[in-house]
Amino acid sequence: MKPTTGKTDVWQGTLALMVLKTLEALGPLHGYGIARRIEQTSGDRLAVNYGTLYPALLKLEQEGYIASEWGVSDNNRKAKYYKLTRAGRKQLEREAREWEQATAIVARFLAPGEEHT
Amino acid sequence: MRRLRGWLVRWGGLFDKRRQDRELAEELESHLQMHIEDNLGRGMTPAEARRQALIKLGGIEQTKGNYRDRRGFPWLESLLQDIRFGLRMLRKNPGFTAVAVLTLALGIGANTAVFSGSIAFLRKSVAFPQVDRLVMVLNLAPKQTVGWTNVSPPDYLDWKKQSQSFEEMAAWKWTSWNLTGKGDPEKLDGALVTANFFRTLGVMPAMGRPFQTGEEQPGHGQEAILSYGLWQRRFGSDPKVVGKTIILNQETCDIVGVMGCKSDSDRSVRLGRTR
Repeated sequence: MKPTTGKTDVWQGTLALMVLKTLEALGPLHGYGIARRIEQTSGDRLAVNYGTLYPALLKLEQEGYIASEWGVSDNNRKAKYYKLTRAGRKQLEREAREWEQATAIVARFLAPGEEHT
Repeated sequence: MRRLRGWLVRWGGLFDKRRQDRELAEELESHLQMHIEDNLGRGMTPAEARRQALIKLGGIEQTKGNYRDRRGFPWLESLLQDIRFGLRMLRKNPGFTAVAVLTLALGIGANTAVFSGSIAFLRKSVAFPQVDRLVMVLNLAPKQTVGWTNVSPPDYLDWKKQSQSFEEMAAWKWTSWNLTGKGDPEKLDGALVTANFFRTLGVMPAMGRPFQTGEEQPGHGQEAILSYGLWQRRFGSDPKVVGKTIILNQETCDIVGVMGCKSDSDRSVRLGRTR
């Protein structure tokens, strides 16, 4: 049973891109903040599945795109903060470019067919 | 490169698991608390705030499972677990273990014995020194089912001249002769060989001398080396046979040597011509 309807789970693969972008925009952030930010940016149309988020964070950290350290949150709570590394910044540029290309190609397919007239 | 790094870190993930489990539990706990606080901020009752947060967070144990899979190598961990389990079972059933170990030991031992025996036998049957440095070079026939074909004398000469990989290269050709002269005529099996044949194989006649390089040139006399068997049978083990003659295919050949008795082949050889 889902508490809210009309939400989509984040697609695998795009989550990494969203995480990187979020960290670029907001600076060091904890897992909860990342999840909330992604949900808010999507206009609450995406639901970040935490079972997916933490493994994805771990993968990014293993690959050296993000780094983590323990810190204290705004309301004095201990939390693990993730931040973008230099390699992560490059990876973000690369993935964003690839994503734009991919969507552009798909958009062409979906565009009203000019050749068919 | 990135993948390699991730892989190495995952190897690291195999160790120090307890600390990592604790860290993840703390991280998820702080996540949950932040969510609850946010929910409270939106005016929910504490119970409702906690309930909603837990629903949203989903199965914590499942998340931990996914996380662990990503952290190390699950297949390796389960393999290690299986091995540990197997060892425990072996320890619990000493009778079975003994039988299994004994069976394996006998099997491996018998195999080793058979193979070392047959290798020694096979090695021995080729009675040349440094057999591991001897190779046979043949022509591979393209598009033919027979596979290997004989080498033509010009090819042999070219190979000998141009190849750098061999200390020495010799050629031979199985053949047979009609042996005539004193006593009954006889069909004799033997081989035509190049002068460097014995040098290549690393063996020497027991009596007399091997062929010499100049002797394979055209216009030279015919030379032959007898097998030990032939020497005994036809020449009555004559110790002065070297320098005498033998008539093969009605050509008179000088006997220049006799092979030793260790040579398994009962074939005599005669100097062949490569030109």
